[in-house]
Amino acid sequence: MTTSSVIHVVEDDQPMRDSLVELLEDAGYAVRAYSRAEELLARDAALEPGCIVSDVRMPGIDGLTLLQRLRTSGSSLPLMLITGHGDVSMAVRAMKAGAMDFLEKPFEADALLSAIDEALRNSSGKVVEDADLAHQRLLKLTPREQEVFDHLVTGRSNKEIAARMHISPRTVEFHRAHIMEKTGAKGLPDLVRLSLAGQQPKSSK
Amino acid sequence: MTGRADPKMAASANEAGEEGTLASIDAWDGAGVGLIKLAPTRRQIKLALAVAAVILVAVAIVAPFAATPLPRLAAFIPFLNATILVTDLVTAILLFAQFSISRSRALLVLAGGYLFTALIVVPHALTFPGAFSPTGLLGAGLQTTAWLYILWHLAFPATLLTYAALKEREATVQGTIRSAIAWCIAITIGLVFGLVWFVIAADPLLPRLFLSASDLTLLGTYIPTFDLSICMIALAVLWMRRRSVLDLWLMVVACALIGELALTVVRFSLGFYVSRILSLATSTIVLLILLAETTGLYMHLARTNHMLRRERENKLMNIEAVVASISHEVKQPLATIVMRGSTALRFLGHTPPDVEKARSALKKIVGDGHRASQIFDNIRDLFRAADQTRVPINVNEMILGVLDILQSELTDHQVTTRTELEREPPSVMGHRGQLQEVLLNLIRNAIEAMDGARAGIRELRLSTESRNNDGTVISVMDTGPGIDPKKLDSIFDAFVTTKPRGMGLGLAICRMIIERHGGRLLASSGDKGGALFQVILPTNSQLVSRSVRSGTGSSIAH
Repeated sequence: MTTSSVIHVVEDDQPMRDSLVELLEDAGYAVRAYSRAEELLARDAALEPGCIVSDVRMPGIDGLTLLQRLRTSGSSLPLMLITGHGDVSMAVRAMKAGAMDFLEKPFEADALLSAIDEALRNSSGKVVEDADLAHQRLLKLTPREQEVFDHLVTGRSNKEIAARMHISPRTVEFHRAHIMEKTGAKGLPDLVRLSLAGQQPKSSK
Repeated sequence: MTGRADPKMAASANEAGEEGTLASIDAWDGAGVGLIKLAPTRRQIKLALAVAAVILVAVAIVAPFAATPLPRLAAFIPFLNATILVTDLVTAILLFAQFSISRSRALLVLAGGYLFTALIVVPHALTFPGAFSPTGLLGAGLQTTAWLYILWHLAFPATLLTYAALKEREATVQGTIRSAIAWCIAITIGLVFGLVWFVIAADPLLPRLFLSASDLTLLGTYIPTFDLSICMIALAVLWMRRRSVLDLWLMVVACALIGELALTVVRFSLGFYVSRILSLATSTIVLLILLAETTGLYMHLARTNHMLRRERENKLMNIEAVVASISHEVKQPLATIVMRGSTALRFLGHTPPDVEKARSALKKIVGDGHRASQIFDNIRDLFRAADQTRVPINVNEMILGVLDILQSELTDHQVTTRTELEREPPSVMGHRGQLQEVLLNLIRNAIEAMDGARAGIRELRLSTESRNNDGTVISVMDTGPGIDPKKLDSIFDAFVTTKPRGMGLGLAICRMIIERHGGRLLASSGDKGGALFQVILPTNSQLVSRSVRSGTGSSIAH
């Protein structure tokens, strides 16, 4: 962690924004708060290095669009999305668009801090999973688990997967737990990251 | 003929009122169905007149040469009667189906008449001399076929007459449809068997119609005229009591029958052939319109069904939208509470514990809790019955109050406000919370609309004005992009919202609230671009008369 890191908080709900700022300042970060994505984009070039924490649903430009605009303008600041009504497919879209992580409200202080910590450590903003490692981990899955995994990372819910695979949602749950265990993933964002890394070509030996 | 609208149908359409789809379903219920009740259109009348004219002209042309002998086609009668059997049987079935919807006794009789014709043509063909055997089957005598023909053409116009006589009385059959139809069929079959037995058994005793297979007696020449006169009477009664599409075409049928009977002369003459072709027309006309009617009915039904399904889906979507927007609204303070709570725990975990910071965080949590609870109160207020707490409201004060609430939001979004408030406007009676919610909604909409617009002035204009006949008008104007004219119709549809966040309950509920207050909510594009929303509320003095008129308006809410 570099001490000069600035956390940019983009959140339209004032109480939430204030509480985020309070926490992050207490954790020793320099914080800049924005009530709208436009405000952050306006100072795109002058953004201090660090990390962005942005709400998804906001009036005007939303979190996902903000992420896309930043990436097209060449900024590689790691961005973490937070949302009150995240569904799986939204998380997947966010991860694919290059979000560092995806937190669903309500979340606790520690969850946010460790996510930010992680993001700053890999602040290159690139996909952090090593392609070879990803392949190795994915190889551990049984064909059935692989199938469930593929459904999961395209954003389908347990119920949808169950219907498509003609198995019970409980079986999906079971497979899912196994997949998490074998790959060491803590949540869906990890799975999506793993999948994205797995899609990259293996490094030549 | 088109003039008379069915009063019953008009009434049911009125009752259903605004709910268009339901109105049309009511109209299709039971006796209201199609050709029995519907008045014919101008086009249908023209077509019927044309067909009747063709028949009469054909008869008039053929009549002078009716006796001209033509080649004897032995297969003609079996072929013709087989066709009549099929068409009349189908007609009878369709009429029975119509009867089972309407329970109209008149229709049951008519269906019986067609069934009778369908059945009587069988012995008629079988006994026809030279068709299946030189003298006819079933032990027929010389007179049998002729008498069957006469009785057939007596019974059918008689059912037309009975139909015409019964239909006005709206006589409906009590008891089960199935047994009514069964009885009708049993009686008809019994009648046909009885008549056939009678004309065969009594052949020697019956008055002579034929001297030989091709020579008519005097009675034989004139007895069709008796049937014809029954047809005339049936036509006259139908004419006097004409009302529906079915009546119209039954009159055409009567014309065809008259033509047929007028041309009935000695067998295998020109008149004979033309008259029998007319009898085919008699049996197909009603079948054709019944088929057309059934197809139309089916299409209408399919369409109505589709509309109903869409309506139901919309309702479900609306419920989903409400739940989503409420949960979004409530989740926000809850997330803040979790955030602050866990942060407070952190403060206490510091060495030494930062009690002051923790205390302040906890204080804010209490505030957030109230905020969450307030959201539920607002929602409950929104749906609570309108009349409970109506108080006189000064609209100017209310507007200023709302602007006060929104002060920070307005500054945040760099919106300047201009108010043009009328001095001492008459007070309106209403539910303060609800009306305030409407104004909040409209102003928030305006702020967001202006956010979308890039440059230029962001000005919110609020004005009040009292109009003598209309009441008090509150106008909310913005300098945003205005309302897309195409969307002007749909912006009041339930929960249509283009907003990324916010209560999202939107304009539908705003309008509902205003209408419950006996007022109106109008949307248009302002004269300088931008959107203009107008809330028109009846003032205190108008309220009495207005609330009476708004009786139907308030029913929307339930």
